[in-house]
Amino acid sequence: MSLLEVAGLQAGYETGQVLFGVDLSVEEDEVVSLLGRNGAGKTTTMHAIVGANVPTVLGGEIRFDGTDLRERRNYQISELGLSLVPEGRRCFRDLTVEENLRLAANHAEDPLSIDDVWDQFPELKDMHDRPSKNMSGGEQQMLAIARSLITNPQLILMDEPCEGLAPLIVRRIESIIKDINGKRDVSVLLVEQNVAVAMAVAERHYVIDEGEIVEELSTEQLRKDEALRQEYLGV
Amino acid sequence: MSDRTSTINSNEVGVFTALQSVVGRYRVPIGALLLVFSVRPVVSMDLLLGYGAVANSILIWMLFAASFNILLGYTGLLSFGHAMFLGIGAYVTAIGLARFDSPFVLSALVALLVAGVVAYLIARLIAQKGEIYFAMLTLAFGTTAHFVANYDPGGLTGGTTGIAGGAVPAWIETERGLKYVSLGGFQFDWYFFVAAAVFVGLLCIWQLVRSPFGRTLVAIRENRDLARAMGINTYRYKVWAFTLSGVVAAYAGAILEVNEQGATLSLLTVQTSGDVILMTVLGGANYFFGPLAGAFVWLFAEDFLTDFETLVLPLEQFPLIRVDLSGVLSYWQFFLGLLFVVAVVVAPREGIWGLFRSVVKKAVDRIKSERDNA
Repeated sequence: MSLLEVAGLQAGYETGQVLFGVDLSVEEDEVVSLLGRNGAGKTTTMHAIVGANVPTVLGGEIRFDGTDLRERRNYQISELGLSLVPEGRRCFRDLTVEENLRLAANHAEDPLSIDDVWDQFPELKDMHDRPSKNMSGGEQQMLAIARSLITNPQLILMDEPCEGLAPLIVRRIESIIKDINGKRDVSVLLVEQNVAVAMAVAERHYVIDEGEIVEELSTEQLRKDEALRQEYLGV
Repeated sequence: MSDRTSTINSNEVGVFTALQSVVGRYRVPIGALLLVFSVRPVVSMDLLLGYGAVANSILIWMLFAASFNILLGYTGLLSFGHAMFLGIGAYVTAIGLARFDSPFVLSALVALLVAGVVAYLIARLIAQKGEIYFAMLTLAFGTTAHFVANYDPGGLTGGTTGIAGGAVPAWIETERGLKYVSLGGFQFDWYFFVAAAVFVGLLCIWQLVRSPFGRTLVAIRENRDLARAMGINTYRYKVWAFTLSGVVAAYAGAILEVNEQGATLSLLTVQTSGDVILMTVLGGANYFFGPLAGAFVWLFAEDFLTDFETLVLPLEQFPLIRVDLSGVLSYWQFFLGLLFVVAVVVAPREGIWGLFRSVVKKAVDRIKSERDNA
């Protein structure tokens, strides 16, 4: 059985339905990407899984580690070992780096120690008492990932972690994702528009278009299939 | 570098930096301590009011506003019924003293307990409602509290007259209108008791907001959805924030009861709830000292502007110009309202305290850069 199993997911907002049957799965210790254009339904899929930001789930199944997530309240999902790194580097702006991390650790079942996190993110340790609003975009992104990691999750959902970052920082984020997966056996579901980032870190890729999964392929297949990239991703 | 600085040995530098870090870490309690004991000397200066009687109520209102800011500033909840808890604190204490002859400490403890239970039950009912519904429901509960006190159930609350006689603890002595505390053979000014009690209340709030609990409240205010996605049960935190804020308000109410020698119905009016919102926003909800600054400016301005009659320029001793302002300044609330509007338009969460901070910061930066250039 897969770690995360999404089957026939239909969801939408007051303004209309967005997802028309999304099927995807993430195995243990795997990095998977979900690719698609703006408005294809990537973020809605994420939010439907973690129950955040109210897309109404209209149908289908979401199972994590055997538990039906639709039965749970949104604040009860993270304790199962599922963590979200939201789009736009959302940190708690008035809290310091360390407070952001401790906040996450305090609400986790079996958190990592703060030293484990400092080992993974030495640059954050140097600015531990700085409010996160005074950090650069790349630093805030690292903090958002670190905040997920400290809860010691089995699966992290990342929503466009490299959006708007300088190429050098993008390389750093890529290596962090690989590290998290390699050293700590955390699975990652990565939502991306940037195909290069997805190919650099993920082994398997889903392509979503107009609220449906249209393709599932390996990195090798994605690299070769220029026509598909052109059609669904515009690159 | 001069010779003198280079002779300071590393040991002294170590002590200095250690001291600096202690001051940095405890700047809020140190500031609060300085504040509570300097309010009366400051307002008593001839340039300002020239008398210090108002300092007691300024301090108590500061604590009341700070308790309100646990909700507005830290949790992001707007309550239109916070006067209810100040009123419960004052009324229950007064009922204990006047109707049951119970000692002050016991009466006050019962008052805190009652306020806590009432706040908890109300919060359980309404904490999950959306912003505007939450505000309206607190308004409704606040009005209910006023109605109950006015109705005088069982002759306890005294209706419109409130509780006036016999509601002062035995250890308070009054001489020529001034109150003294006499405890265990010592006699000291009531002001020092108020200052110490308010300081303790402020310490509790400070400890609360810097604890993991308080940091979680800030997270909920900033981004409720993200907080929930992180596994925070926002409802439970809001309920406890509302409860604790109510308990601290009742604590302020118990002190206010002694200060005013009874409980009056005006404490429970919607206007009291409104005043505390205005003070907090005027002072700056973003900061610990914001509501304190707001309460100070509000109450000080009320007395200062109503006393102010003749503007003499340039100095009292050399009167070149005299302007009679008594007619205009009887509308002192207009000027305070103007200040409020300016504060909200310029920076809604910053207020007077935020403005003050940025001015001080700019001045410090300028001095530093000039010193570095020299």
